[in-house]
Amino acid sequence: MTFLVPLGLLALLSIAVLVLFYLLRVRYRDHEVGSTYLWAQLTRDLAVHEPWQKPRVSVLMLIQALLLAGLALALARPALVTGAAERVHAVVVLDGSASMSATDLAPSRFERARARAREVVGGLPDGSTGTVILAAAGPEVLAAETSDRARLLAAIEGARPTDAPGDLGPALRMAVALARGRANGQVHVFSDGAFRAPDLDASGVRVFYQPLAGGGDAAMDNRAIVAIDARPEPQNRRRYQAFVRVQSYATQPTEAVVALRADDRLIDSQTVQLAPGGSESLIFADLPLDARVLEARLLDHDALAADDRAWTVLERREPIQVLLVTRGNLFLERVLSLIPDVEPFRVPPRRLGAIDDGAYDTIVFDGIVPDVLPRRPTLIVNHQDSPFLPVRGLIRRPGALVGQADDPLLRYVDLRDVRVARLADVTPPGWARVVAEADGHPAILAGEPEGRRTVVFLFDLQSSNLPLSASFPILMTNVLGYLEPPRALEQPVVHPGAALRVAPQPQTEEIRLEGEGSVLQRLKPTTPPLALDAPTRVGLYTISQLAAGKVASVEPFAVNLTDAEESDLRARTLALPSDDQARSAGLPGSRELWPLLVVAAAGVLVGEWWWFHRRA
Amino acid sequence: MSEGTPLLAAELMHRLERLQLISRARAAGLSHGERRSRQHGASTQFADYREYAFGDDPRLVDWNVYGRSGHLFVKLFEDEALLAVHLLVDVSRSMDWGEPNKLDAARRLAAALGYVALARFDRLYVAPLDEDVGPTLGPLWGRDQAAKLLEGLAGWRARRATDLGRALGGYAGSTGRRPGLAIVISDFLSPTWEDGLRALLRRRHELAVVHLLCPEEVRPGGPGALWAGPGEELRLIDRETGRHVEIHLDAPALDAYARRFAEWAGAIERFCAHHGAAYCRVDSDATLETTCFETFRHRRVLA
Repeated sequence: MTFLVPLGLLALLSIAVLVLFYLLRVRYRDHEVGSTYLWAQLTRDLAVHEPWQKPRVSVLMLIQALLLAGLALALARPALVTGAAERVHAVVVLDGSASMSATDLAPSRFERARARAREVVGGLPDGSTGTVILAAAGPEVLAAETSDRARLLAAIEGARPTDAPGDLGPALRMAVALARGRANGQVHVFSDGAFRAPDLDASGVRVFYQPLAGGGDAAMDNRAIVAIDARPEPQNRRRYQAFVRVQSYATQPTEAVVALRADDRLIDSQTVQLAPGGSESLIFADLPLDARVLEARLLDHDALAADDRAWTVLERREPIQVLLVTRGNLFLERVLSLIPDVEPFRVPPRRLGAIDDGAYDTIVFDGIVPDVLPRRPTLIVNHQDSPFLPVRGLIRRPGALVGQADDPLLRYVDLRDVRVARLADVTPPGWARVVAEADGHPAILAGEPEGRRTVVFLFDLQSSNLPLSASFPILMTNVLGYLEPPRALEQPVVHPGAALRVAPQPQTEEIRLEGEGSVLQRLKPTTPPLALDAPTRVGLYTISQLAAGKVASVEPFAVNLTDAEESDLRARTLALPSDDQARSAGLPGSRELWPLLVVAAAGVLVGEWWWFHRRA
Repeated sequence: MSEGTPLLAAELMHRLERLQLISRARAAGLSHGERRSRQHGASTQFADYREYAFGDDPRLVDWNVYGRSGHLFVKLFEDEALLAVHLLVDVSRSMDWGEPNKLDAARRLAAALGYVALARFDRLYVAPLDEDVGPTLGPLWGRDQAAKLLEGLAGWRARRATDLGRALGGYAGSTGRRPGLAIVISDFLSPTWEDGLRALLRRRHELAVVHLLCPEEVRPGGPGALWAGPGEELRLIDRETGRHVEIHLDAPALDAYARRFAEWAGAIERFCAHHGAAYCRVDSDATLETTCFETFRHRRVLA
C-alpha cells in the first residue's frame, strides 16, 4: 500500500487537538440544583476546577479520535499498488452540434452523450488523466488535462449543446494530438455522426466512437425550414414578398403548417404537402410595408426544434437625406432629385453654421470646403484649397478623364468623352484612391479619412461636359451608394457560431450584441470591420451602436440553422480511424482506498450519534 | 403542585382523624399540680371528651361514658388538651425544587400533621422558615380550623434562601407561645441547621425532625437525575444563591457524593437521637399515606 498524498497524514495532528479539548474540559452542561451545599465540599476532593485535567478514557473521545484518524488517512489517499498497466489518458469529445439536441433519444441525444461520457470518466482506472472537449462551431476545451475526476465530471455536466452545424474535424484533430504519445492515449467521441468524416491520422491513439443517433420513426419525423428570404415585389419595389423552403426527412408523405410572422405579428400561415424526403417552397406576399423582421415557423413539433424556426431581415431602405451646400448648381440639384430614395435639401454656404449637419445622411459641398469637415459621408464638388486637401494650383485643359476600370464608383460609367476645363492640382493623400484622372492628374478621389467616406471631384461640374453625359446620373448614383451610411452588419442572416463582421459608424463608441432579453457582448469599435462569433443558438439578435451615450442605430440580424446535414436525423454509419494496437509499455496502476475510509468514517459518525443519544 | 389540588383528600382526612401526635409530655401524664405550678392561672376544668388513644393515662378514662356507649373516652381538662404543636416548615428556594417538588411535599406533610393535631384538639402553631421565620399561623384548635390551616399552607411561596439557625432561633426566641412539640420539616441543606435545632431544645420544645429530600438529592446517579452518562461535565447552579459548582460527574464523583450525603444525613440523625428527638427521612416521591401510616408511625411521630 502507498499514500498518494502523504502530507495528508499531517491531519492526524487533529487527534492531539481533540485530546487537548478533552483536557481543557471547556464545555459544561448547566444544571440547576436546589442547593450546592453538599456538592461544594466535593470539589476539593475531585479537583475538577483545575483547567487541566488528567485525561479520562471516554468512549466518545475514542470514537471521535477514530473518526479523525479515518479522515486523515483518507486525505493521504492510501492506495493499493496493483502493478497493472491501467492508467490511461482519455480525451472525451462531446458533439455539441444542433442535431445533438434531437429528442429521438430521450431526453435528448446530448443528454445521452453526457451520461455515457460520465460513465467513461467514472470508469477510468485510478491515476488516469482526462480532457473534455466540446465540438460545435469549433472545438472548445471544457477541462484541460487533469487527473481530478470531479473536475472532468463537472466539465461534462456543464457542457451545453448548441444550434451550430457540426464540424468535428478540428475537435478530433485536437483530441488525437492531445492523446498521441501518451501512455494509453484514448479518444472517446460521443456524436450522432452528422458530419463528414474528417481526414484524421489516428496513429498511436485508440479512437472509440459511440454513436448516439436513435433513428427510427422519431428521427424520421423531422421537418425543417432550410431556406428563407425576402425580396421586393417586381411590380412595386416598396412591397416585399417572402420565400420559405421546407424540407421533409420523413419516409412517409407528410404535411407541414408554416406560419409567417412580421415583427412578431402573425401575418399568414400555409399548409404544404411534403413527399418523402422532398421539399416545397412557399411564397408569402402582401407583407406589411413597415415590416423589418420576418419569422417562419413550423407549427408542429418534431424531433429537432432548432430547424423549426428561421428569420430574415428586410433590407428596407429609408430615403437618403442629402444636404447640398451650394451657391446654386442646377446640375447637382437636378440629378439629386432624380435619384430614387434620395431626399435632397439645399442650403447656401453662409447658412451652413445654422444647420445641424448631423441630421443628414450625406453632405455635398459645391465650390466650398470648410476647414473642419462634418463627421458624415461627404461629397466635395469643385474642390477648393483647404487644410483638408491643399491645392497647389490649377491645371488648365488637362484632356479627357480616364477612370479606374474596376472601381465600383465607375460601374456602368463611361468617361471617355468627358472633359474638364480646369482641374485642381493636388497630391493624393494617403487615405485616397484615384478613381479618375486626366493627363496623369487626379480628377476624382475617394477614401475614408478618419473613418468617414469621402469623394472629391477636383473640377467644377459647370466647366465640364460631365453633367451633360448619360453617365452623370449613374456616377452620382454610384457615389451616393458609396457614401450612404453603411449597414453595421455585412450579412443580416448567419449560421450559429459563424463569423459576424461588423462595420461600425465613425461616431460609434460602443457596440452591443443583444438577444434573449439581455446584452450578450459589448465591444469597443476598432477600425473596420470587427469580427466576432455569432451566437450559437438560433434566434433573432440585434447589433446596437452607441454614440454619446445614446443608441445611434439598432440592426437586427438572424441566426438560422438552415443546414440539411444537421436536420437529417437518420442514423449514420461513420468509421473513424483508430490505432487499436496502441498500448503503452505500462505504468504501475493503483486502486485508491479513500472511498472505503470515508464510508467507514461515516459509519463511525453514526455510531457516535447513537452513543451520544443513547446516553441522553 | 397544581392549583386547585387539595392538600388533603377527604378520605385521607377521615383516616388521619384516627391518629395523634406522639408527645413525651402527653405520655408522661403530667400531674395537674405540676402544670398549675408551671402555668399560672391554669385550671383542671373539664374541657371535652376525646377517644382514648395509645399513651393516654387510663385514669382519665370516663367509665360512665364507656358504660353508656361501649367506647373508651378520656376526659380532657383545659391544660391537658392544649398540647402546643409547632409545625415549622422550610419554605426556602431550595425546597421549591426537585421532582417531585419538595415544597409541595412539605405542604402536604404539614397539612397532614397539622390536621392530626387539630383533630386531637392540640393547640397548633404553623410557621414558614427561610432566612428568617415568617408570619406564624395560629394558634389553631379543633377541626373547624382545618380550612384555615390548609388555606395558610397553600399561600406559602418560596422566595428566599435558607438559614435554619436564624429562622428556628427566631421562632424559639419569640414570646407568647408555650413550649410543646416542635416538628421541623426541612431539607436541612443549611450549614446552620444544628444551631436552629439547639435553639428549639433550649426553649424546652420537644423535637421531631422530618428530613425531606427529593430523589435526585439522595441518588444523583439514579434514573432521570443528574446522571446522563459517564464523564459528563456539569455546572451545578445553586437555586438559592446562583453560585455554581463545576464537576466531572463520573462514578468516583458519585461515590464521593454518596459518602458525603451519608455523613451529613447521619449527623442530623445522630443529633436527633442524642437529644431524644424523632427523626424521619422522607423522600418527596413517597405518598402521603405511606409517610403518615408507615414512616411516621415507625419513627414514633404519629400513633
